[in-house]
Amino acid sequence: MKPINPITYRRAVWIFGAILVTASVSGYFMGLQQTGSQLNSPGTISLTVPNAERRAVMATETIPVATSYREQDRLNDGPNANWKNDLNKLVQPTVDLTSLTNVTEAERALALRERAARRAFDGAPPVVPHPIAQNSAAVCLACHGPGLVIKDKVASKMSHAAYTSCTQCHVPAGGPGLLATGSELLAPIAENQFTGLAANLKGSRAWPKAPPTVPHSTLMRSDCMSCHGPQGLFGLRTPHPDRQACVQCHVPDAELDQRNFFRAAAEMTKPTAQNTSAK
Amino acid sequence: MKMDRREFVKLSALTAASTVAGLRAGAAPGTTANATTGADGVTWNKAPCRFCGTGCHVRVGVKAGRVVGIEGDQLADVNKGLLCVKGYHVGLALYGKDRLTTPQLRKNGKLEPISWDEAIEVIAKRVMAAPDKFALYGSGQWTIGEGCAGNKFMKAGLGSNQIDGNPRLCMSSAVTGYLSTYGVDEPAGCYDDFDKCDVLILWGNNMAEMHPVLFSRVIDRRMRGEKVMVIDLATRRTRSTDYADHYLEFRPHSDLAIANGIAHLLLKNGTYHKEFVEKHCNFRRDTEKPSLLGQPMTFAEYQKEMELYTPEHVEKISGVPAEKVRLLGDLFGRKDLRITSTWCMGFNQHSRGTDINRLCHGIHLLSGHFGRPGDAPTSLTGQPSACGTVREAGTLCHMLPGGRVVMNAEHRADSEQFWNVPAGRISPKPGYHTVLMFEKLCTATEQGGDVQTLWSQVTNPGQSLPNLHKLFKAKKNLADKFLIVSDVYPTASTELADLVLPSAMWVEKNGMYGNSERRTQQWFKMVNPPGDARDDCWQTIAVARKLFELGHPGMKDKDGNFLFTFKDAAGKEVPVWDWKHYYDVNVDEALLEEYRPFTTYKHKNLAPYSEYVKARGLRWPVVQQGDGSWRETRFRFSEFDDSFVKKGTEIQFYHSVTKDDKALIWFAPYVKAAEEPDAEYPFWLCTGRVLEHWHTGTMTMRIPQLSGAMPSAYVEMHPDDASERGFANGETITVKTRRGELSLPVWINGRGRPPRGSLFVPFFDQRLLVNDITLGDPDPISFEPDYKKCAATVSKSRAARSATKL
Repeated sequence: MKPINPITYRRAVWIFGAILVTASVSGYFMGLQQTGSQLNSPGTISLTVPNAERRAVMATETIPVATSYREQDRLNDGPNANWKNDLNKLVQPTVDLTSLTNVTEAERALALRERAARRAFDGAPPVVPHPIAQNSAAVCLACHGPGLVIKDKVASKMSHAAYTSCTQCHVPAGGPGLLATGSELLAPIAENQFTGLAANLKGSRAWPKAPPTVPHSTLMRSDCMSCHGPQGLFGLRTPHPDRQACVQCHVPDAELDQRNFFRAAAEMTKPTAQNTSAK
Repeated sequence: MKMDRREFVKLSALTAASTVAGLRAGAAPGTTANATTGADGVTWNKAPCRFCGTGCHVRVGVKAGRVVGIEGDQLADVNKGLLCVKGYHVGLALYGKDRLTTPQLRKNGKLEPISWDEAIEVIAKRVMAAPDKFALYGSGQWTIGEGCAGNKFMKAGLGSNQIDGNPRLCMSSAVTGYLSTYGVDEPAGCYDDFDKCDVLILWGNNMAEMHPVLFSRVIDRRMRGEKVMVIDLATRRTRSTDYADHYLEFRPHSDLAIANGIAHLLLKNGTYHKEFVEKHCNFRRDTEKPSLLGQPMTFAEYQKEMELYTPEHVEKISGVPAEKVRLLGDLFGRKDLRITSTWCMGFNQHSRGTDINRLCHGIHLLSGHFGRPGDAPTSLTGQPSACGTVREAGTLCHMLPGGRVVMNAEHRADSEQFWNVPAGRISPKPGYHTVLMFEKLCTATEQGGDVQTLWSQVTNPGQSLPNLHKLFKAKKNLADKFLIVSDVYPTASTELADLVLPSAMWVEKNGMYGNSERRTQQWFKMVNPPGDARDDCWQTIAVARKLFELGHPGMKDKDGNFLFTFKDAAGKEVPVWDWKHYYDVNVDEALLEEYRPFTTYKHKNLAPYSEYVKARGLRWPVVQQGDGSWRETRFRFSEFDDSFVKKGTEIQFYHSVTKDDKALIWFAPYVKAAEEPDAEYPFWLCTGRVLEHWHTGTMTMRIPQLSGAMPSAYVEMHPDDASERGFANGETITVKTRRGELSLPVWINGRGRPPRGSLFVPFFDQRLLVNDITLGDPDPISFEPDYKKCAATVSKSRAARSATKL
C-alpha cells in the first residue's frame, strides 16, 4: 500500500474537523429553537399541582395538565368519541297498532303483582327500583318523560302530569347505596304490619261486551297509555291501542276520584263572604 | 212486654238523645259529613297529615278497622291533592310490629307490664308527694285538645308553670322574632304568598326536603310559564339548590351580617320604602342584657349602625361575593317585585335566633315588602301543631292561652275566669324552659336538681335534645328521679323511662292541629289503637281525677267541681276518666270550646268546632259574618283582608309593642358563633333532617318504603376533605367534638354537598345519635339551642363496626 501523503492527511483532517464543528454549531443553534410541542416552561414544574393552581394553570396556554381519573370523560374521548349517547336516537320497538292483544288472567295477575311490589298500597307513589341521582329531576325525565323500552327493560312513561320535584314522592327502594349489604345499619328497626289497599281487579261491565268502567282512581293516573299502552306491563295492555280517546268509553268512578263534590258541598253552608272578598 | 204510651215516648226520646250524642261524639267512622264509603268497603275520611308543619290534608282509607290507603285531598287548599313521600305513607306509621300496647314500670332495671290503674296511681302519688317538683314536657305534635288539657292540669290545677314543649327546640326564636317585631306571634301572610311571589328566598332552609309540598307549589308555577326566581342562601348545597337560580353559600352564623348588608344597601341606595317606614315602623335595638322588648332607637342611630355592613365587609365575614349581596339589595330595593322569604331551623336553631328573625322581618319592613300577597317574611313551622297547640294554646313555662303570659296579673285573671278556677290559682313565676328543665332532671336533688318527676308526651327528648350526655343520659345515675314517657313505639326516651305509657296516635283518636299558615284543622277517630293504648288526653285527665280523689285542692274548679268535667247532650256528667266512657262525649270538641274564648284577646279567633269539621281547616282569625257564616283571614294587619284593621289605615299593627300601631325594625350586630372551628377541631358540624324521615324516625324508620330509601344516618363531607384524609365513600369514620364522638359512614357527593371544612349529619337515626356530640348553645331570649354549629374533627374509625346499639 502506498503511504498516505502527509499533506493530504492534514487536509482531510481539517475538512473533517470543519464539517464536525459546523455540524455541532448549527446543531446547537437548531436545538435552541422552539420545537413544535411548545415545551417552553415558565419556571419549575412540580409533579403534583394543587386544585386551585391547576385551574389557574389550565387557563394559561402552557402545559396541558393531566386530568384526574375521576374527571376523565372516557365516554367521549378516544375510541368512544363517536358514540352517540342520545336517548332520543334509541330506536323504539314498533308496535302493530292493529293487532289484538289477548291478555290472559295469569298475565294480568302477574302485572298487578309487579305493580304492587313497588307500592305500599294501590295509589301510593311507586318506589324507584334502581339507584337514582340524588339531586336532579331532569335526569328522571330523560327516560320517564317519553317512556323507553330497551330490550326487556321498560322505563314507564310518567302516568301523571309533570311535577318538578320527582324525588318528593318517589324514593329509591335500595337507598343511597352507601353501605355494603349485610351492614347492621341496613337492618330495619321493626317489621311493619300494614296491609295496603289492593288494586281492584276489574271494572264493572253493564253487559258482557260493554266497555268496563275504570276500576281505580285516576288521581295521578291521567295518562292511560303509561300503563295500558305499548310501554306498559304486558298484562295490562289494552287490546285496542289504536283508539286514543280512552275516557270516551271508559268512565272513572266519582267515588274513587273524590269527585263527590256535590255531596260534600251539600254539607257545607251557603257561600261565605270569602268568595266575594277582594284580593 | 207491655209498654204504655208514656214508656214508649220515653224510650224514643232516649234513643234519639243517644243517637245525637253518638253523632256528636263522632267516634265512629261514616258519621261525618266528609266520610264516603265505596263499594269495596273502604271508608275514606279527611285528616291533616301526621307529619310536618305544611299541614297537607289527606284522605285516609279505612277497611275492617285498619288503615289501608292514603290519598292527597283534592279539596284541600294547602296541597290540592298532592302529598310527599312521607304523607303518602303516613298510614303505615300505625303498624310497626313493636307498637307499645301496655303500660310498663321499670322494676330492677327491666320494664314490666302493669295495669293502667296502677300506672295512673304511680304518677298521682308522685305528684301528690312533690307537686312543685313535677314537670310536664309536651310537644308540637300534641293535638290542641291534648295541649289544652295538659296546660289546664298544670297551670289551673297544680298551680305550677313547670310545663314546656319541644317547640322550645324548634320554633322558639321564631316566636320571639314575631313578638318583638309585631307584638303578636305567627305569620301575617299565608301560603297564598307562594302563589304570588316573584322571588322566593330560602334563608338556610332546605325547603325541597322539609316542606316539599310547599316548595313544589312554588316551582311548579314555572311549568305553567310563570317566572319565579329562587335564591338559596345556604351553608351547603342541597336538593333545594338544584332548583335555585342563585346559590349563595355563607359561612355559618354570618346570616346576621348578610341581613344587615341588605339593610345597608337599602339605606345607602335610598331604595328603602320611605313612606312605609314613616307610616308603619319604629326602630329598636336590644338592651345590654338581651331582652324581648329591647329599647328604642332612632332612625339615625339605625343608619349609623348599618354603615359598617358594606357589601365588602359582608363578603369578608360571610364569604358571599359582594356582587351577590348587591343582587339581594337590588331585589329588595325594587317596588315592582313581590318577595317572600322563608326560613326554618337555620334561623331558629341559632344562638342568635331571635336576632336573625328580627333582622329578616326588619328588611321586609324597611323595603316595604310586606302586606301584599307575595310580599311576606314567612317562618315555616316544622311540627304539625307547634303553632296550633304550643304557641297558640300557650303550653310553655311562661305562657297562658291566647298569647298571654303568666307574669301579667290581668292575663292570669282572664285565664282563671275562662278556666273557672279561684283567683290566685295560677302562679306568676315562670317555670323552667326545656333545656333547663332537663338539666334540673339530670342534676342530683342535693345539688339543686329540683325536677324530680318528668312526664314526656308525644315527643322523644332522648334523641332530640342537644348535648345528650349532659341533658338526658345523666339521669340514669340518679335513683330518685322518675321519667314517665307516653309514646307509641320504644324510643331513645323509653330507654331511660321509669314508666312507659302506650298512646293512641293520629287517626286512632279525635284531634285538631294548627299548621304553619294559622290554619286549624280537625279530624275524627277512624280506627282503634292497638292493645291497651289510650289517648294522651285521657291519660292526663285520668291522673287529674286520681289526684282529685286523693284530695288535691287544685283539681277542683271554683265551684268545687272536678277540673275536667264533661257533660253529655242531656247535661249529665260523663266519667271520662273511665276509659270505656271516654268516647261517650267528644272531649276534643269540649276542650276546644273551652279554649275558644281565650283566643280573641290577641285576635287569634277560632271558629266553633263544627266549622272545622266541615272545612279543610280555617285560618284564624275566623270571624263570623252578618249572615252567620265564618270567614277566615288570609292576610293579617292588611285592611283589604283583616277585618280587625281600622278602616282607612291600610296597614295596622294593632298589637304594636310601642302601642302606636307600628311594627319594629330591629338592629342586631353580627357576632361569632359560640364554638367556631379551631386548630384542634377544624370542621363546622351541622345537623338536620332528610325528606324521608320525620324527626327522630320513630315512625318513619318503621315504614319500609322510607327506611329502605334512607336506612341510616351518615356524615356529609366535601370530596377534597375526604381525599386528603384518605376516606372512601361509605367508609366508617369518626366525628369527634368536645362532647363526644360518633362513628358513622361518610357520604361524599351524595344528596347534600357541604363546602370545605364543613360536615352535616342527619339526626333521625336512633342508633347514631348525633345529639350526643352537638353543643346546643341557647339563644339568650328564646332559650332555643343551636343545633347547626359547633366544632368537630374527623378521623378514620378505630374499629370497623359502625354503631353501638343502645
